[in-house]
Amino acid sequence: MKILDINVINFRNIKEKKFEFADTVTYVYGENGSGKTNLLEAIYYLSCGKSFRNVKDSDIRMRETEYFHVDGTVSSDDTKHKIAMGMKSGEKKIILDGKNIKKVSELFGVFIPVVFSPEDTSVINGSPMIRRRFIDRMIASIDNDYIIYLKKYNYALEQRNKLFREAIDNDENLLYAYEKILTENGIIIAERRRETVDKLNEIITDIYFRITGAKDRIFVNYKSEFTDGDRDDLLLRYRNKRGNDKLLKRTSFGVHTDDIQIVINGENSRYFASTGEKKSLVVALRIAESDIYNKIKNEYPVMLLDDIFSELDEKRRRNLLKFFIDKAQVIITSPERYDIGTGVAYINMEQIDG
Amino acid sequence: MNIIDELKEAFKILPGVGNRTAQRFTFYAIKADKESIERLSRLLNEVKEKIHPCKICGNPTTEELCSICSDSDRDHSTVLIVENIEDLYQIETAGKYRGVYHILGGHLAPLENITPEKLRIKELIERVESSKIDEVILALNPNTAGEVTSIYLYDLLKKYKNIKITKPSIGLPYGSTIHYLDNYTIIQGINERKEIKGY
Ligand SMILES: Nc1ncnc2c1ncn2[C@@H]1O[C@H](COP(=O)(O)OP(=O)(O)O)[C@@H](O)[C@H]1O
Ligand SMILES: [Mg+2]
Ligand SMILES: [Zn+2]
Repeated sequence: MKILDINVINFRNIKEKKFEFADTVTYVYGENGSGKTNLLEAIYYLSCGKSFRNVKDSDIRMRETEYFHVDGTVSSDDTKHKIAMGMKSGEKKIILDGKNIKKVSELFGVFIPVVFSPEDTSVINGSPMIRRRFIDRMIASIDNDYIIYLKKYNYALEQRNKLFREAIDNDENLLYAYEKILTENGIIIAERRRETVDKLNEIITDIYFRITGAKDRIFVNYKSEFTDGDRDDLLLRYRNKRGNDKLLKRTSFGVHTDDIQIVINGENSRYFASTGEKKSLVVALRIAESDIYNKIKNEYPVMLLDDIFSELDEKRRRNLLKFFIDKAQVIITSPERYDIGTGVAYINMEQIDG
Repeated sequence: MNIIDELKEAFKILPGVGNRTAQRFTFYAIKADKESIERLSRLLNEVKEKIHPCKICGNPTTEELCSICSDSDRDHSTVLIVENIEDLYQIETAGKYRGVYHILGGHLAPLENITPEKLRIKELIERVESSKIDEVILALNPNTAGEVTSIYLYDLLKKYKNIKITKPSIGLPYGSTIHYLDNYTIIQGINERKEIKGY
């Protein structure tokens, strides 16, 4: 998977600029605030029409402008695609190879970047929702149908919640119909999450060791109410929760309450890991994600390494780069320019008009 | 609001008519000769007065029963359930189906305030209890709302032991709707329908 170039207009502080990337490593430097993370965000945006920073499109558009636009060329297995995306007067436009696309989900799988930003430890510190999203995005990038199961599940969840919220939950047949959809799709979702967590566990301790040199035992603990019990048990459990759900005015049982704990030496990292350990864990998880993707798709996603150099010491930096150099396309940002080898393209963000 | 603006706003209730088109319609109405405007307003009135849902299936008609329900050549013991009139028309256009219909008027979706009593479900149960029906075909749209509605109807109908409950057997793309399907897919789906043995 590669990105060859990107054309960015009115995207945060980038007014209008075309960037080209090397096959191996592109090194983006410039002082803080110059727009390095914004460039990575624009690249990520091209893959899915969303920011990895969890913000609205209106935050992305350059202040005091009417629209923003990104377009770029990506390639996978030597097949090139052109993606263009933009937002004008509240309307989003997505174009793949010259054709208009209605939903971003149709773009899925065309271009897959993985963002490393050790500063962002929300996958450890944040809510279970953020960890579910981490695992779901990972699964969706290797399994095209997964999004459909999630959509069906979430659809049924919202409809069932509405029945309790408005206290119109007296029709048992209707509750049952939604519980059926929740059960059927929840079983598949839990299965996929379980399989993916198992794959993570096969490699995560080793990856962590290779970055940090520390012999810590890392374990990803999938916590779900959906892991035991067959279809009929699960249906019954929804039924038994109806009284409780009526009081809570929402659905309290199901894979939307799953969590994925990252455990270090037997302790939940969310509460017990140091800041440094959390940063290393975040990086290790991203490497594992890329590795799993590679095992299935036979190519690496594009690695977007945001400011990892100032977060990690010299040894960890070199260890991290070793994972990807000569395997994946890497785009690195850093406030200072270091020479890191031959064949590297450099982009100076300070030469960009803002 | 003056009468011109009001007329323009009124035109905007038509599907696919936005500001510009509504404006064109309004100017046309001002310029057009008296007879054609009178004819249009008479027909619009009559359509509301004379057209009503068929007593049995819900299909719009000027009579008590629609042309399908009053056709003695059709098989009245096989009832195909669709969400909307558009779906019925699409299946009729495909041409091979010889049973009768029941129009629900949509699918279940509490978030859009469509609860069971908003659909013609009570009418369906009355129909099943009062006439001789051997088979009900659940031909709801192949999306999650249609699936929920099918499950719901199946659970209501399964106690009528001598009625076979079936659904079209088509590998329909998730999220599609019947009135966008081609004739071949529709005919094949209905011909090769499968019995639902439980949800
Ligand atoms: N919507 C926006 N319009 C204009 N400038 C923005 C917008 N959003 C962020 N910025 C600017 O972008 C800069 C931060 O860019 P960033 O990519 O985070 O820098 P860094 O190079 O440190 O990663 C800040 O100066 C900020 O004011
Ligand atoms: Mg930054
Ligand atoms: Zn009729």
